[in-house]
Amino acid sequence: MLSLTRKVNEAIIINDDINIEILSIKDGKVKLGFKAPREIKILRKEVYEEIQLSNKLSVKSDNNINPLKELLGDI
Amino acid sequence: MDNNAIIFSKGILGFEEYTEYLILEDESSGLYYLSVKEEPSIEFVIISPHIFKEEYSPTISESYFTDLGGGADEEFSLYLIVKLAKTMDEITVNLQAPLLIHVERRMGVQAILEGTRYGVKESLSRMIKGADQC
Repeated sequence: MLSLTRKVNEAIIINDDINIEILSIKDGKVKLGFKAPREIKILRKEVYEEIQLSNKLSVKSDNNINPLKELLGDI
Repeated sequence: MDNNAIIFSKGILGFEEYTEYLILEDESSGLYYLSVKEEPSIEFVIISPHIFKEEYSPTISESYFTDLGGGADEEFSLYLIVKLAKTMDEITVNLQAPLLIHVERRMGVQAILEGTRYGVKESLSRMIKGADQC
């Protein structure tokens, strides 16, 4: 893994068109600013991991479809 | 939808190794089943947000539409993954990561919403019946 040290207001450029700036450092938190083309998706990693986990827990098993059908039957 | 595979070039999150999926409609219940073509034991129950009483109007990043080749909004369909449970009230639906599908091109992507009020584990019962009835 590449490791770089940056100060507030300094930035990193990735692949010519992605600019990540250190906006502030306070109380153990770093605030980052991103400038990137629209097609670049920028997400907090924990959101990504939460959805991966949720998908894995959503795989259907044989015995549990009936409560859902019951719920839809109520519409 | 017919039985041709839909290509999720990046897979469903957590199942990135699988890119071909099938969607089957259960007309009697309004449910759809999304399965991995080469591994049918991996199957999800998905629903259309049209069945909700609560409005579902996510802001999906333009980049996901671009991933599928772009086009007018009406060319795309949205589906949501349901997490089944033993009782009706425990069933949840993932509103934060809708499946965006271009039906004609047979292409799909699981979009992730950022900075949204829509969560990963929302009560399906509340979405279907409306908050006032729960």
